[in-house]
Amino acid sequence: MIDPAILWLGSLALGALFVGSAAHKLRDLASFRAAMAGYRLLPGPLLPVAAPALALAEAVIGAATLATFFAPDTGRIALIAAAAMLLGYALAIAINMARGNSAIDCGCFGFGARGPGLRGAMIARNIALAALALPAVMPLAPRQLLWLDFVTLLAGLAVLALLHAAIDLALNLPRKEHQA
Amino acid sequence: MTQAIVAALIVLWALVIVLCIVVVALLRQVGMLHERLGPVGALVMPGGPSVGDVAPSFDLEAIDGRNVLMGGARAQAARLTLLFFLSPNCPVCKSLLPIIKSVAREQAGALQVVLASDGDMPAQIAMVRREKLEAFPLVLSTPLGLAYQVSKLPHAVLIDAQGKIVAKGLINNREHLESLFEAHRLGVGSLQALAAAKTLELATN
Repeated sequence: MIDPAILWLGSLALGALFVGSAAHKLRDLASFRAAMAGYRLLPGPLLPVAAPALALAEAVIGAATLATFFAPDTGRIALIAAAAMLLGYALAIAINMARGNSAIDCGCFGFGARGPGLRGAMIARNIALAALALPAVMPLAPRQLLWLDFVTLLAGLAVLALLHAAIDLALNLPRKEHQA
Repeated sequence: MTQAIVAALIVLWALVIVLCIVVVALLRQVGMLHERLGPVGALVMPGGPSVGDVAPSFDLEAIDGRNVLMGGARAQAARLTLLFFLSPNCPVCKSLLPIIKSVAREQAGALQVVLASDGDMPAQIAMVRREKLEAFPLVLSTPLGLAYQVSKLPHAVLIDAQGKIVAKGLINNREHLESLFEAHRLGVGSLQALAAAKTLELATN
């Protein structure tokens, strides 16, 4: 059994992330297509279709996730889809790191803004984000909403946003230099 | 109510744990940045009196009429002297002036800042007014620049209370300027010399 406040926190956070990320990708589709091409996972001719499709999928999933409060069943499915997408991205990053093709734009939220490069920590970040969707697969313990839940949701969202920013920062800082 | 509190607590602790991980990661990064930004000395240009020599003695009048005594074997100053060579038409000098002011403020009482330039008086006065440099004496002296063989600006020389040159060099940023004081603190002429001493120490161990 999972408390609904925890489910809502995860869905609001992931929904906001997906909608924001989709808006960013749709605004600059050319860069996103270039980032996808860098992954070398899809055949070139598919890219002009796949890039907008992926961005739109993010937008739809994000919107449906945000609506968990009103349409719990759709929201749960969207949450699971969001987690699947995040894990899929993690897999794509892992494949390219294993190939040694790590000096590419990750295409993450805010892509192109910073130096390119894939990092192992990105996989951990995606798994942590996907964990926010975990309550979607657990049975819900229905209960009345209280004022405290709004505090939990608002403060939780604020802290998650800060954490996301901090993790983003930590990911883009220089790494330890190996002594020759 | 109890359920809401339990949910809030679960969320809270989950966030705190993630927060701790992120703080540790950022702290590690701060350490790495410090490691990357190891001390870099000011670029010492060839020519002029070398580090450790007695600074050439000068008795100059600043543009505001103040008397400035510098160098010489007699221990006339009770504090360090930072001699900063600048020019009104040198953009890097301009960017360093706030740093000079902040260093002077940090070491107030232990440091005397002397600005040195030459040429065109109205331009110098305009610079003093524009950059609010009234607190520091500005001397205009070609012999001073020649004595230190200043070829590139901005150039700084740190002279200790005994009138000896502690460190000098081309100064392009705060780190360069601080390296002069670092050299004084460590009693090593230049950070290059310190690096050489460290290598020697490693070699003998």
